Amino acid sequence: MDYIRIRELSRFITQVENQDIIALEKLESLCLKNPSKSHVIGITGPPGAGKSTLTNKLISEFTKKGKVAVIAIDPSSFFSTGALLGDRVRMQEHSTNPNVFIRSLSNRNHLGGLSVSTPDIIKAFSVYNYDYIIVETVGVGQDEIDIVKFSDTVVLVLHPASGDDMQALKAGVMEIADIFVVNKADIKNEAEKTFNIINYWINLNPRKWNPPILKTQAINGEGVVELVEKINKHSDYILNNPESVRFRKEMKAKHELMAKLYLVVENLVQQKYPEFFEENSDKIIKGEIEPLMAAKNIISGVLK
Amino acid sequence: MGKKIRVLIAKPGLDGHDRGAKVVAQALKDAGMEVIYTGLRQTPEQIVSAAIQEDVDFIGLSILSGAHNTLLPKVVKLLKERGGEDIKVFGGGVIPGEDIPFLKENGIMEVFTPGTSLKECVDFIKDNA
Repeated sequence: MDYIRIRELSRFITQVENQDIIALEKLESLCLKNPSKSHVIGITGPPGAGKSTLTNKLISEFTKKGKVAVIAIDPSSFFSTGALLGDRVRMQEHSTNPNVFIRSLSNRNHLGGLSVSTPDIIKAFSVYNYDYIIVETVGVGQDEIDIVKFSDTVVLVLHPASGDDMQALKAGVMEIADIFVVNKADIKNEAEKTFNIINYWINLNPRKWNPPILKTQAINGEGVVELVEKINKHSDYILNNPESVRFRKEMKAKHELMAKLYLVVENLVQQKYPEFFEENSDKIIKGEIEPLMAAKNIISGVLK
Repeated sequence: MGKKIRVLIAKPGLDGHDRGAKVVAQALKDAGMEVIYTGLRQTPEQIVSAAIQEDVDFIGLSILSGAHNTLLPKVVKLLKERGGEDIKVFGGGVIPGEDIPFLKENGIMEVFTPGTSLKECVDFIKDNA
């Protein structure tokens, strides 16, 4: 891809990230013409587990077969709304490879592990024909699981000593993994314990696709080839068993509809009554109005 | 959703000291900007391709090695070649005063030397965004 096209894609992603309606409409028309052929791989797990370092090694493997895009999300400050996006530090060796495009995103105070625009940016990379799109979530706790709706394969990266069996039994992030990775496996005893706990959990929750567990050392690439094999195997599995991802697709469609409904309403409110948020939050603070009342008032005005 | 100011902070060349770069990155984050940090020992090519992929508004180059007269203009030159001439470049670090006019002639918008307050740096970006 030449420099002009890279620059064009980069600017387009900015417009999409800012949820510019015209850019989103253009994106949707491109999507209708080009059904996605990309394999979207979600990399999730707690902060410091090694997601970025592992992603770096996955880029090396996937570029042997095609073009790779990476979306790396980090949290924004609740107070300043700024962000320090540092995932890229681990991936800079790929910075000048024309078949790799890495984009860092702030979650812009959005919960769920992704930013509001992440699903749209995945689509943008897809219409620009990236074969593999790796989405690295914000470092997650127990229940930031939006990634499952927007990726074909979810890799949950854990570190040794990440909790006992009680943690594993809880609902949330453990349930969305298609592949488990225990990274930093050089910490042998603790890695073994975590491995056994996950194994126990998998045996208690038998499914058609039983998530494999792998031990890796992302820093030196150990176990990464095996991880790629499992990712490819999962990709084949969902191709042959489309019903297995039906629930995900339904959740994805609902999520996207809600997000776009919110966007359209927000834009309408901005156009018709730009002072809505400021004036009404002031009234709420003073106790003059309640939020549902304010929302109903504005909607009955806007939708007339 | 409004546009955010995006800034890439990078350390070109061979020096391993990034406390300054990290302090600046933190200050810009606290001023509400989205800051991408690329880590140590980056070539101008790596910095420019990261800046273009990230679609940043500014690149801040922190350099303490003495190679500023070579590396900083090279970043500006590569940006022009790759359609990133609208990205504004500033520098900081141990840079002798007599070198600053040369750097400015070569497309570096501003140079911050030791003793600069963080507010000065933040204001510079906000004023030129």
